[in-house]
Amino acid sequence: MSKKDKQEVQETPQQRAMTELAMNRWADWKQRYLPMQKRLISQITELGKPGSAVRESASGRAATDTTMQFAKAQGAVQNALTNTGAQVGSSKFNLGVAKLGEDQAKSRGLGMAMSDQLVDDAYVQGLSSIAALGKGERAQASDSLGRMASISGRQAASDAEIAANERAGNAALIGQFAGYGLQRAMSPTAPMQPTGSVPGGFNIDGRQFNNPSAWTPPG
Amino acid sequence: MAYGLNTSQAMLGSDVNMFGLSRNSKTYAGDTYAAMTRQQWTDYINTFVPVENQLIQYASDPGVVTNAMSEASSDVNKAFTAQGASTERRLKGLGITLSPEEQASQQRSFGLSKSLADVQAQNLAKELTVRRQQSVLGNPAPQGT
Repeated sequence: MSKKDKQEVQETPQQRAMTELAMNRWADWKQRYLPMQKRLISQITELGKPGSAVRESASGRAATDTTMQFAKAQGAVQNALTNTGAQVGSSKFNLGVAKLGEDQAKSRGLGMAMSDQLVDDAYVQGLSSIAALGKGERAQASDSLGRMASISGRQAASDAEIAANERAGNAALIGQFAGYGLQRAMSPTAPMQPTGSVPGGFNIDGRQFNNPSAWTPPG
Repeated sequence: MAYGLNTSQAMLGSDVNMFGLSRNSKTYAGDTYAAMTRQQWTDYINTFVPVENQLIQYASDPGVVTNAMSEASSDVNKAFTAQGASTERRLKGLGITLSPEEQASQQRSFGLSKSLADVQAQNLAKELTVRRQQSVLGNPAPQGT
């Protein structure tokens, strides 16, 4: 036996069997799981695009939730106003009803913006889960989509309730000041809480703004 | 083809495996592992790397934040436009016509609310998007600004 033959390591039957097993498992993954993963990747990529069907649907749902919740609030505000003696056609009643529309628009707009953010959450979590799958880690893809379905409804209900309470109160206040000029009375009496990127916001005429462009001169 | 094992199973009885390597070769196991490793790397490059690139693009592109802000602004503007008409219909339904003073007050208040909601929505979109970007990049305590 030459020196070269002595150094050669023969593959054992176990090594060859393990190779067959690994190859079969890999072929199975490629045939059964890989197409599913590719389909999921394609769905998530589609979901993240601007104006995707999921975005439109989430946005529509947010708008519908707001409309439904504010429809209830509208009735409550009208009842509250008439119970306090404000008749239909009075300034107190008219402006109370009109102002509730503003709150609804705000809730609806922010609800739609938030639904977009939740779709972005789902998109990034989906991509992260697939990237983790690539590293052999566990997927958590559906969590965000589930949350997305319930949040807009809860937010709209909360906004509607707050707006109804606020408008019943504001409308009463407007009635008190009607003789002194409606426009002054419509100004908020409590300082607004700035939520913008400017810490502390801007204080103009005793009112608080987070953006100077949002300020309208009085008069 | 129900369970996907047929490709390699069909080759169990044959002399060559799915990579075309002979089972009679003395280096069959080593060569097969080498071929499989190369194929797995190719699969990773084709399937998962594009996804990782999408994530990297999302996390590092400043345009993502700008787009989120303009989308939020557009949402608010759409909502106020729709609501303006809806409020008019509601008032008409109640038989209410606003006086000129009431109309002026209503329009001013409506414009102010719209501007504030617009700014609020843009700030919200910016903060959440920047946070999300930082999370993707691995920041354990992402900040919105």
